[in-house]
Amino acid sequence: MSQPHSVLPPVCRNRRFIIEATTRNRPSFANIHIKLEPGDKIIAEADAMASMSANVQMQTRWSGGVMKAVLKRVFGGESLFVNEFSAPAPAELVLTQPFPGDIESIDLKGNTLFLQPGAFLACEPGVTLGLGWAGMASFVGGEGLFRLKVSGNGRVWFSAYGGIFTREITDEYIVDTGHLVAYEPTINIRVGMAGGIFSSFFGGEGLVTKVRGPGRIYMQSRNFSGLTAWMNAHL
Amino acid sequence: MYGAEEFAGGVFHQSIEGGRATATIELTASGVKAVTSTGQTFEIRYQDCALDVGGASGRMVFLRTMDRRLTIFCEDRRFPKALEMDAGPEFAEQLATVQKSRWREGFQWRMWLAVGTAVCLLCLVGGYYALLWTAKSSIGAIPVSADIQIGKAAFDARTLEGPQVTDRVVVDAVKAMVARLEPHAELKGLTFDVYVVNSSDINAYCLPGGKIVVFTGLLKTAQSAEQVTGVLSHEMSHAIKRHGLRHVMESMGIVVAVELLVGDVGGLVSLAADLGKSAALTSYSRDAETEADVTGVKMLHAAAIDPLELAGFFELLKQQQPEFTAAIQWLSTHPQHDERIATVRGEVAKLPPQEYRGMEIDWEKLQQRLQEIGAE
Repeated sequence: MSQPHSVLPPVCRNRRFIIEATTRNRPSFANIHIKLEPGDKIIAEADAMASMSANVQMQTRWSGGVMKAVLKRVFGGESLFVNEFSAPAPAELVLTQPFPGDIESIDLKGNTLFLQPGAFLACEPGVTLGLGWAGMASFVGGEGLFRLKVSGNGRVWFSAYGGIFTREITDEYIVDTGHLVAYEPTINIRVGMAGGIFSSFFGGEGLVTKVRGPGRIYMQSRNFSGLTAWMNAHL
Repeated sequence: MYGAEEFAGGVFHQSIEGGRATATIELTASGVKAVTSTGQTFEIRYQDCALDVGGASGRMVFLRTMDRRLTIFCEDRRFPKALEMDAGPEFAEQLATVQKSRWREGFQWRMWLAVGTAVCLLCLVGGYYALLWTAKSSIGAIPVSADIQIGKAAFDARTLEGPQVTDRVVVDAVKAMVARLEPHAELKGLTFDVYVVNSSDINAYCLPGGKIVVFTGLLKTAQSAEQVTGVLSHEMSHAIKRHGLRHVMESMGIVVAVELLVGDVGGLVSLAADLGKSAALTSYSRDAETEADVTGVKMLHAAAIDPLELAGFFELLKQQQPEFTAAIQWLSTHPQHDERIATVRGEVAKLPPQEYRGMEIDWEKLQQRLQEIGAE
């Protein structure tokens, strides 16, 4: 099984925040092992913590204020709260996601990335979490009415159901609904049919997401609606 | 004006680590210049520049070299105007053409969305009514045992609205009313079981299959045993006309329509069982209520009980309604009193002459026993 492309090596030492983080058990059951030094901070989605040293301090706060937190919860699929982890002495923290799949990290250097609802896992303090209007096309395509906008400086970790694979888009590319996880702001998203009316609806593909570059997109190798439909059929 | 303004943007080029970088964009006399945070400088001359509009927002301006090896992009709202001023009118035309093309694409997409939504709604509404028709017309093919099972499931799924009254005088009186009507039920195979509940609500209901629940509030408010029997004839008619089963099938029809629309029929089986319980417990339509009134009148007439007693009970409720607005649940989804009184009287007028005889129930004794047991 080939490892998905990673922007950063599995082990890296961040220039600005000096936080050592390793993504393990990729791609099926990925989790992040973080070594916290005094002064380090990691912000993570509520319920992302799997284990931590006894001296790790966890502070829970609204995800960007009450209103923003509620909006992110309702429209962005994220938790109302985020947890901020720090430690007065060297400590270990393990973060993970509730479903099987890979975790990817991106080092933001003043640029922006859009995440699909529910994909955000953790970030360094220099990263700003915002909510952006994704439009009706995204909604009809099953990708949500809003998208999470991460920008600033620092690493951001996002999770996917299944493996994560990336693709550099120069022109137009087609992704089945529910497989798009993250994309750069230079990517334009539209919804279309996979083929003609007959083949789109009877070929099982239905609506698809048409992405137009330039830019990079991150996709997941499985999608939740496919899993739920499969489970329903076997209940 | 050249160099007066700087815009936040970015650049795509293979010489940059990772292939892209954020950059500061500047319009020069000869072209568009991008300087990355690491100091790398890129420039596209206006005459070598192809223009496009897109990005996640749909308004990001892309400037590319003809060989597409270098792309400079900017989302600043001031950028298109500055480009138009600095690069010349031909750029303005190119930008306007691209924007128009994108708008046309967007318009086409919105049109398709509107048409698609309209078609889906039509299919949903059409499918719903088709299923309603199918449910209504196929109800006769379903055995009465289905009604009994649904009624039992509904009865087991809920708790009675108050303590059950077991006093023989009270329960036997209600059973006698039901027994007088039961032989005249047009649907055979139903089993009418009576449960009396101590509650001040002026209410009674009959579940599919024949389980009848009568509240003491109804027994205390009515002025005669015949009036209570009239109400029971209405409730029993719901079971006789199989309104509960029809309601279950109609409710399932909605789920079927939705499931078909979203393309997932796998969950239907598990939903059907739950729907059977809930749909049987929810209110009937006004048409069903009117049908139950008409059927009740016929049943009372056949049982030689004056059907006008049912109209009399409605008159009583009409007088008492201001005092009982919140409590009269029995009427909450039913047609208005006057309408129901007119329906009953209209049906009675169509019936052949009949010699009516009263219920053999000691009404005074029943009322006294209700007082003794502390009925609400």
